[in-house]
Amino acid sequence: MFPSRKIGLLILACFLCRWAPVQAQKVVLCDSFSQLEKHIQPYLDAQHTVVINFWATWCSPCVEELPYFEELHRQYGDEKVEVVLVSLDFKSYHEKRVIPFVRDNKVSADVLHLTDMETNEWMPKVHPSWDGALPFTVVVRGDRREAFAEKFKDFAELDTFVRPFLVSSQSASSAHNGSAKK
Amino acid sequence: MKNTTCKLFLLALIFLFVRAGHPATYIVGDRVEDFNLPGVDNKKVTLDNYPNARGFFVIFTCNHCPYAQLYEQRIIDLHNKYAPKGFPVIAINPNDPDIVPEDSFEEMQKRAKSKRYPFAYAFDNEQTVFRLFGANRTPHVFLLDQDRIVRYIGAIDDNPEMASAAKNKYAEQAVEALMRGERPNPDFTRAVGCQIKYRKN
Repeated sequence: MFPSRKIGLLILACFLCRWAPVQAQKVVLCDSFSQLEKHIQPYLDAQHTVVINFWATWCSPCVEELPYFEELHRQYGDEKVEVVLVSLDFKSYHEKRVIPFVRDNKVSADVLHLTDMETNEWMPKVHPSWDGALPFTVVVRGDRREAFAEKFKDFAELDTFVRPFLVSSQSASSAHNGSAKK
Repeated sequence: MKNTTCKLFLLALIFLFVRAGHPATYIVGDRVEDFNLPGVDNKKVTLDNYPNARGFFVIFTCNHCPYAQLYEQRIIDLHNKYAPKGFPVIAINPNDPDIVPEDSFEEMQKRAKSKRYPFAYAFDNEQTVFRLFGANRTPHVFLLDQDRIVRYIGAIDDNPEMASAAKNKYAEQAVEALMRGERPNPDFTRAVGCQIKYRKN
């Protein structure tokens, strides 16, 4: 095969990847909670609203509500809302469960796999009320932080929970109108 | 003047009523009320059933939760090791079987039989006991002393995946402290678990 054809194919491949309709995210493995904090700090610095959902592949209510977070990511992607899905699966599940799950379900929001075993240390930093039951969701913006300690029953419930944190009510209503038109 | 007193009285009444409607959950240092729940052997499970107990491991757990399953053998071991020393395990399933059919009373009976549970396995069918305890997840341990005062709340140990790799066996350390006449330290731990599946009214 001629080198120029190789390059041509490579460019074509890149082009196809770039324009793939749904591209699954890479799963970032975090051994310590500080890595998770580092990941979200730029969002907080930029005054974005960060929705962090703690889940696991073995947790059926968590898996059931993941599509609502994907929907949130789609609807508010341009509204300075960051959706971060934090898997608390065992580290040994990284290759065999977490990565295939994210790939097969074409998850497009950020996925982090947190394997920090010092739960007593880091769980209260997420929210003082959290003692480890899954699923668990916090929404953070600047100094404001609110927790939701159960499964969202539908997208509307998640939307209602996140909406007060949106940068301005104006942008919230435009996002809403935008989604209504679809 | 009379009117103001009346208003104050009414306010106090409303306050009492509201407080009564939302009873506080147990924290370390609180004395636990006895409960009366159906056990898998069709007998009632109460703390009074154990007149010689020096304390209890009240553990909210269930059939379906993968974390509860990971800890199942450790709960059996805990009972086998400490029941002879006066600290039996009482396991309570708080989940609503309408949400998780695997956690029905019949399924509890099957599991207790097949795994030969040496401890009482009770069903919180009214979902009142877990609320009183403030249990949130399965498995969730509450260690009581002889006076039924909560002395430890939290996890069994710090390694759900592999018992042999646990660095801290919290539940064992807590009961050993009680047997020495000391207060457990830590007396509260956080750990991953399955949220309790409760009916919403």
